Amino acid sequence: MKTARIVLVVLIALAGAALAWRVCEGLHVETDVLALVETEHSGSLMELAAGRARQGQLLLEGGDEEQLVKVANVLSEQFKLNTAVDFQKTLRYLAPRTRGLVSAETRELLRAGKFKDVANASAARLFGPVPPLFSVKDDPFLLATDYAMSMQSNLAPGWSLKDGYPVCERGDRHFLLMQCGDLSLEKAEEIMQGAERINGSFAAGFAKIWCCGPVFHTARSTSSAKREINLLSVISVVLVALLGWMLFSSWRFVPQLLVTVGVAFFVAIGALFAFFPCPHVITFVFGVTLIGLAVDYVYHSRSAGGAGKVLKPLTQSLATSLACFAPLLFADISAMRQMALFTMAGLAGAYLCALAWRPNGGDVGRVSRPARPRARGTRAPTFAIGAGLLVIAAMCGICRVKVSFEPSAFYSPGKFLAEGEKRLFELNPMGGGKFACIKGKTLQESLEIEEAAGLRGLSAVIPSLRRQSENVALVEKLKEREGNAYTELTGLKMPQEDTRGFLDVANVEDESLKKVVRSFSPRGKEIVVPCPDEFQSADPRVVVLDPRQAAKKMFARLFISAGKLFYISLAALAVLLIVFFRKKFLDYMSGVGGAVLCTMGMLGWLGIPLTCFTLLCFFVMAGLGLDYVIFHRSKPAPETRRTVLYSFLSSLAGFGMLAFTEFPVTRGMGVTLAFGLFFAYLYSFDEFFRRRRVTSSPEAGKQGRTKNSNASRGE
Amino acid sequence: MCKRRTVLLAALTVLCVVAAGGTVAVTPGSDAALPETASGTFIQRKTLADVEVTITSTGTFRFEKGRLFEWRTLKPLPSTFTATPTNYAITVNGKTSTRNLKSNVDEIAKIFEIKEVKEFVKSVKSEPQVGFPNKVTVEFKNGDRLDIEMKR
Repeated sequence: MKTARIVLVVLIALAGAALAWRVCEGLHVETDVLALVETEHSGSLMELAAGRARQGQLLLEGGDEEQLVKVANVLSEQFKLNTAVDFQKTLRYLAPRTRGLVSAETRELLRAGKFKDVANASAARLFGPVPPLFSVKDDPFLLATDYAMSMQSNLAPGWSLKDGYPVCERGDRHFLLMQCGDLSLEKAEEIMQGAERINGSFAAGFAKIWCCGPVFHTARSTSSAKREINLLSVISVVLVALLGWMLFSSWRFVPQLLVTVGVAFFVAIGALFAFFPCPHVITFVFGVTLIGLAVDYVYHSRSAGGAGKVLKPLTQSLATSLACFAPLLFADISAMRQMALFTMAGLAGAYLCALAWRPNGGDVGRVSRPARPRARGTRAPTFAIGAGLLVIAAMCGICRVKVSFEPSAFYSPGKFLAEGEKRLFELNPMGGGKFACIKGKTLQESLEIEEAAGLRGLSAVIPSLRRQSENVALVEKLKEREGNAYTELTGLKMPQEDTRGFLDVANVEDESLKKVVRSFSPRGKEIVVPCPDEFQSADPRVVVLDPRQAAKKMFARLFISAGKLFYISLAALAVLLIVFFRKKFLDYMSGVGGAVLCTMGMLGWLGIPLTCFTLLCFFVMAGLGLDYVIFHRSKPAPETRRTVLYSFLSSLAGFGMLAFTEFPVTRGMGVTLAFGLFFAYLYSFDEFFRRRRVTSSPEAGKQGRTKNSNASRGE
Repeated sequence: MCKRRTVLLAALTVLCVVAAGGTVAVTPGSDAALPETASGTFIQRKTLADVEVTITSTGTFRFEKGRLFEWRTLKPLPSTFTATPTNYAITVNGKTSTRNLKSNVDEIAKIFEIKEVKEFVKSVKSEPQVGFPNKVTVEFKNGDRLDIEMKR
């Protein structure tokens, strides 16, 4: 025990040093789910996700456009959204910077040498009822006016502008889009609540407000998760404390439990940060399972009257759990290595803490007994038959098990958000939801690449400086060819000197244009543009991203990797169990295997798909499940049975609560762990695998396990 | 309610006077002053202050309330400007370029006050003030000016 204490102190010191080192450098935790797996374009996907993380749209739907504008104005005022484009202000800003601005259509005509067509269109505009938007002194062909008019459409492709808002109509329904950039999660939640309240107060058909975009989903998930965590944590803690009290008939186990769990987490976090400068947040989520494992050690060491009395099963339990998680250390996915290291270090900390704890308190070695011993006799066969039928029924569900890599299996929005996204998707002129990520060294270079790739994103609103210079040359040619005829027709003279400047995307000062630039280039260098499904580019600086497909690939890779490693874990467990239990190893191994199959079957019956996250639960299940078997068989006494039962119930109270969460990932994990632990506990019973005949006679009870079994029933 | 009715009546009267010069379709059973369609000829003088040039054009127009406003220039360059509630188009030599733009095609005078230039508009005057305008004058803050004479 002294050695255990020394090792524990050293471990804590090392963990503390590692944490102090990282704290000095600044603690960083990766929160992006796309960072879980490094795929071909994961860097670009992360940039895309980071750029869009705070973006959201409000989609207003109604029968009258004027009313939608009024509602939009009210929303803008109420939530300080400032989403409308102030076109007049933009025009004033543009006026001295229009030298190289030519609409895409006019540019194509000029490049094709159709100078006459351009001159005619300019004259027609001049003779038409619409006055020029900019002075004709420098721009007699009204090319800047034409550009400004086309820019309106390009600010929101496929939509028209009405009072500064993009609007469109489908059938008799009108839609208005409010682009909200840089929303905080609190503000997004406030807007959503406001929108739902307004939707409830409006008469049907007048106006509906839909919230779309990542920020609203994150806000809703966060607020929902916070609510669930608060509620379920309280329930879990109360249940675990109550179960501990029922086991020990005292609260004196609480300090040991708290210290052991605390030490386990401290050592685990220290080890994690020592090797991974920026661990993923999922590691900590998964690491919560450490509590269940630490509770086992505390309960068993305390109920036995000190860890020394259960040293062998405790050590076997640790070794098998470590063997279970060790293969994950060799995973090619960083998050899995992090989870393995976290759990293994935490387990070692909990084990050493359990050993180092000086047994004291009146409850040590005194586990409360059942008030009334149950009658024996036919119990074992009945149990075996009942359990056998349950197991067979559960296993039958395996044929219904589905594996899913679909992002929808990991996140499904509520009805309100789903409806909004569906509507916006239907109105999206780009269709499929693909993006092109353009990576230039500067924003200007990215703009040039976008233009060369033939995409109409930011360059459709603000052309690159190179293109603007090309436009100037084209306009000079137009003046040369058509200048005289145009002057004769309109009376406007060709300017000798152009006093206007260029519009530089890197130095835009107008608020509306700034918003446009930010929406395409959140980080200021790369440009992310929605692109048609069929778009392809040979330029390596243009990466076409399909976030949905990329997420599917990522989850598939995570699943396959976890699956392979689980087989290795089972093999490692089998080897270790052979070393520990020789011929009896099958009794232990079949329990784990059976629990895994039954749990998969139950997932099949419940229609919960097998995902990379539920698969990771099988590692925990194998580790905890084996603990039940090891302790049950180490000292088959009523105290042990009761300790295992309460240990199982505590883990169930902790993990099973996850099954009541809204988030599909945690819900799936909760269900998997609940059934996994239940079947592992069921398989841990001696009666389940007994090959020898169960008897209630005292003579027979003197032999082998039957004796132990009798003893365990308190007779 | 009363105020809205007054505005409506005023609008109806405007359209009634418009009908005096153009082809007017009157909705049966409603106020006789409510023209749904109108057409005729125009002379337009556009004065561009910064270059001191006045551009004169002539042609025909067609108005369908809430649906269409067509401004067909015949001289000096044949071209057509068409505004609908959702977009506008300019056609020259059979080639049409369309822009998405919300336009108010409910009142003729308002058409010359389209969104882009609305803030730059100093004043819009029509004569007579009630009914179909035979003359519309739009003054812009930069000194530009639009004088339109319309005949049925």
